[in-house]
Amino acid sequence: MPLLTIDNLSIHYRAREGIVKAVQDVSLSLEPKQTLGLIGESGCGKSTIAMTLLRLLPRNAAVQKGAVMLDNRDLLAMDAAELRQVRGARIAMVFQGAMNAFNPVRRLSSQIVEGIRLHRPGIDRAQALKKTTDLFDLVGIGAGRVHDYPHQLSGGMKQRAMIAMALSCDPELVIADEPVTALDVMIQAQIMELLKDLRRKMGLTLILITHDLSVVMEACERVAVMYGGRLMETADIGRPFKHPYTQKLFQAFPNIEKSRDISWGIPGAPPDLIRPPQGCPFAPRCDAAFTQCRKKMPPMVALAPNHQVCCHLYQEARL
Amino acid sequence: MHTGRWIKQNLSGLVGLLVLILFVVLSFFPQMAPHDPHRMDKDKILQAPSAEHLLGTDEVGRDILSLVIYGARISLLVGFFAAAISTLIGVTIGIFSGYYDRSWGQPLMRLTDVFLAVPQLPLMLVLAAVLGADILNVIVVIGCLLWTQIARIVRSYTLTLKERSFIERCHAIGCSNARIIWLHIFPNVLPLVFANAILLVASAIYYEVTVSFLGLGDPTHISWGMMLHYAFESAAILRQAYWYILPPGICIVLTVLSFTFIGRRLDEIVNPKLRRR
Amino acid sequence: MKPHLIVQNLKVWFPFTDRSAKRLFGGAKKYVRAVDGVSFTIQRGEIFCLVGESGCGKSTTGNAILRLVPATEGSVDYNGVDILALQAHQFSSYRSKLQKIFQDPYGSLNPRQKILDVVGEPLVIHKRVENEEDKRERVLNALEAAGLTPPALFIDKYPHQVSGGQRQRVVIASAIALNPEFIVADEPVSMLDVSIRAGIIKLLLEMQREAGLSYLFITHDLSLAWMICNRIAVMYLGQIVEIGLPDTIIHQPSHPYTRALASVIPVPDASAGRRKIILEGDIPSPVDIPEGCRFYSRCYERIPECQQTAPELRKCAPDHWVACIKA
Repeated sequence: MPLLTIDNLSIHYRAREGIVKAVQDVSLSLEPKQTLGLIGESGCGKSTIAMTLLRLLPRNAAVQKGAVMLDNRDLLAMDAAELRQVRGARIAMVFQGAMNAFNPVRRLSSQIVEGIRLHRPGIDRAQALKKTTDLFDLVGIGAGRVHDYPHQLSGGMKQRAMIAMALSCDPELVIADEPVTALDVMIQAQIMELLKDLRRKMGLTLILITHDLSVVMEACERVAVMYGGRLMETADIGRPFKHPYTQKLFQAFPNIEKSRDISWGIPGAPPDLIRPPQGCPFAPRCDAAFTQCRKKMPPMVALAPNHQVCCHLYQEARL
Repeated sequence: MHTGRWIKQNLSGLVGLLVLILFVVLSFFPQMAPHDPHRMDKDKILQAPSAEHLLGTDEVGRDILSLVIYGARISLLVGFFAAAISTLIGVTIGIFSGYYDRSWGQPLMRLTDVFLAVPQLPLMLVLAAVLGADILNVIVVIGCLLWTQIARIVRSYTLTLKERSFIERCHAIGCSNARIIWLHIFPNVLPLVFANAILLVASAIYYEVTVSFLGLGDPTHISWGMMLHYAFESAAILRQAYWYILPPGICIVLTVLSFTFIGRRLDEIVNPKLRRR
Repeated sequence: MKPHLIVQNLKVWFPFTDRSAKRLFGGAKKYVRAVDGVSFTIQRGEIFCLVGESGCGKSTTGNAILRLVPATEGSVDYNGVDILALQAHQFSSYRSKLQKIFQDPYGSLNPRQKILDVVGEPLVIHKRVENEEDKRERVLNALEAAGLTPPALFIDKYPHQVSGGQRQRVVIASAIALNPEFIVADEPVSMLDVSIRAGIIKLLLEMQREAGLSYLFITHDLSLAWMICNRIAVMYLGQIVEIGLPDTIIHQPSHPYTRALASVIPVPDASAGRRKIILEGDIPSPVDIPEGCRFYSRCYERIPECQQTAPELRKCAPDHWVACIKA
C-alpha cells in the first residue's frame, strides 16, 4: 500500500514571458520505508514537485491537474487547517541551504520545541526539550548545543540541526531538497552517512531531491529521473538505466574508477518550458532520436515491475 | 486580458502619471489660460466663480484659474530642479562614501548625519530669508537640504555592489576606479535612484509651498504657494472666499500625490528586480 | 619545461576585527591566516590544480597572485619578475597577461552592459582597439573562439538574456580577448549544470592547446581536478599538504587528509567495498591556528610529535611532495 501517490501532476507558473510548464503529467508512488531519489538538472521541475507536496508553491504557480494522495487524502484538496496538521507532523522537509531555514534570533531549542508542541498539544516543555536533546544526540551535534543560536553552528551542523527539526514530530515522510549541495565534500559524506544511518534506525520514508547522481546512487533504493518537466525514467538502483538521458547523465560525472577521458557532457541546452517542443523534450539533444521522437511525446512503458521508461526506443518492449 | 491585469497592477502609478501629464501640459501651454494672470481689475475684487472667471478672482482682481495654470509651471519647475540638485548631491556623496568606504565613508556619513539632525524647514526658511526671495535661491536651498535620504540609500547599495563578482572582474581586467564608478556602479545604482528621485520631487514641491506660504517665496513668480500666501494675507478664510484657497490647495495635493504614486509604483517595480540574481 | 609562475612562501593574512571585551583590554592583534606560506611552481603550458574544501585558502591564493587582494608576504615570480613587488602602474601591463575566469556566471557580469561591451572593455582599457568597428570585430572573434556561434547572435544581447553556460563562455571570451598567457580559473564550472560542464572544460583545454596557456585551476571537486589537470596540490587551512600527479593523489595519496578526501569522492557507481575515511567535525577556524601540524585535530594517524613541529612540504618521490612527519 503506497504511502504517497502522485497522479498525473501538472504545474504551471505564470511568468512575464508566458506560462512556464514546469511539471507535466508526472506520476510516482512511494512505499513506506522506501527511499526515492528524484534527480534532474536545473529547471527540470523536481523542486517544484517538492514544494507542491507541502503546498509551498509561490503565488504565481498553479496546479493544472493531478492529485497527490497521502494515505487516501488528496493533499492538494486539503484546507488550511488540515494542511497545518500535515506539515511538519506527517511530512517534514529539509531545505536546501539550511543556513537560511532557521530564525537567526531564536535559540534552536526554542524553535524545535515550538514545532513539537504545536503538533503534540499534550506534551509539556520539559518532555519536548528532552526529545530535542535526544535528537541532537542522534544526528551527531551533541546535546550540549541544543540552546545555541543558529550562527554558532557550522554549515554541516546546521544541516544536522535541520534534519533533527524535520524528525522532531516523527513524520511519516521526509523530503530532503538538495540536502548536501551547498556543503564541502567531507561534510557531504558525513551527512550522507547520517541519512543512511537514520533511515536504517528509524525506518524513514525519504524522498531525496538532487542533481547529483552519486548522492542518489549511494543512499536511495529507487530513482526517478526528470527532464524538461517530465518524468523520463523510474527504476530500482542496481538495474542498468535505459533512458538515453539517464545514461548520458551517468556518464557526465567524472568517474575516478574509469579512465581520464572527457567524452561526457550533453551538447545543447535545456528546453524552453514556455514553448516546450512537441515531442520528447530530450529529442533535440538525444543522439538516439528519430522522427517519431520529435513528433509525439512517448508514453511511459514498463520494462519490468519496478522499471518504467518514457522513450520511443522501448515501445515494443511491453512485456 | 494581459493589458487589463497590467492596468490594475499599475493603477495608482498610471493615475499619478495622467495627472502629472495634465499639469505638465498646462505648464508648457499656459496660453490656455483664459486671462492674463497679471491683469488686475479693481472692479472685480474677490468675486465668486462666474462665467467669465471660472474660479473667481483674487483680492486684486486677477483671474484665479489663470493664476493656477501659470502657477503650475513654477511649482513643477522648482520641484523638479530642486529634486535634481538633491539627487545629484545625494548620488555623488552616496557613491563616494560607499566606494571609498575606508577613507571617505565615515566623514561623509557624519556630514549626512549633520544635515539630518538639523531641522530642515527652519533651516530652509532662514536661508531663504538670508539669501533673498529669488526663485533660484529657493531651488538651491531646497536642493541642498533634501539629499540625505538618497545618499544613504545609494551608499548602502554601493557597498553591496562593491562586493559583487562583476566588480572583482573589473579589477581583474584592469579597470581604474574612476571607470568602475562611472561605467559599472553608477548605471546599476540609477534604477534605484530614479524611483527615489521622483518621490523627492513631491517633497520639494511641498517644501516650496511651505516656504512661499510663509512669505519667503519669489513675489515676481506666481506659484501655488504664493497664492496661498496672498490668500491668507487677504483674510480669504474670513471672507469665505473658498475659491481662492481651494484651487491652489487641491492642485498642490494632486501634484504631490501624483509624484508619490508614480514614485512608489516605480520603487515596487525596481526593488523586486534588485532581489533577483 | 620552463617555469611560468613561481609562488614562494605566499601569505595572505586578514586583520580580524575582534570586538570582544578581551580585545578592548589589550591582547595580541588577531589575523585570519587565509594563506599561510604557500609555495609551488607552474610550468609553461601546464594545468596546475589547487584543490581543497571551503576556507582552505585556494581562492585567496589565486586572488593574491592576480593582486586582487594584497599579499602580506611572499613573492610571485612571473617570467622572472616578482609581480607582487611591482608598483601599481608597473603591474598594469601584466594585467593583460594574467586573467581570471570566475565562478559565478550570474554575478560576474554587469547586468547593464551588452555583451559587446563586456568583452570589449578589456580591449578598450588596454588600448588594443582603435575604433568601434575594430572593437566589434575583435569581440566577434573572441566570442567565436569561446564557442558562441554565431557570435553575431550574442554580441548585442544582455547577460540575463543568455543561459548560464553561455554566460560563462562570455566570461571566458572576455578573458581571452587580451591574448593572455596565464589564466586563473576559480571554480569555472561548479555553478553550471552537470551536462554543460564538459563543454566549458573542453573549451578550456582547447585554449590551452592552441594558445599554449598555463592554468591555475581552483576547485573543490577532486574528481574534476583528476580528470583534467597535470598536477594537483591539496590545501588545508592555508597550506599545501600534498602535491602530485592526478593518479598519485587519487589512487596513492600519502597525506592522511588527501587519503580521506580521495576516499569520499562521490562515484556514480554505487560500488560497495570502497572504504571511506570520514573525518569527524569541521575544519578548524583559520584565526587561532595551533602549533605543529594543522591537521592534528582531525588526523586519524597522529602521534605526539605532530603537535610540536609543523611539517615542511618535502619531496617523497618524483613529482610527489608531502607535508607529513610520517610520509
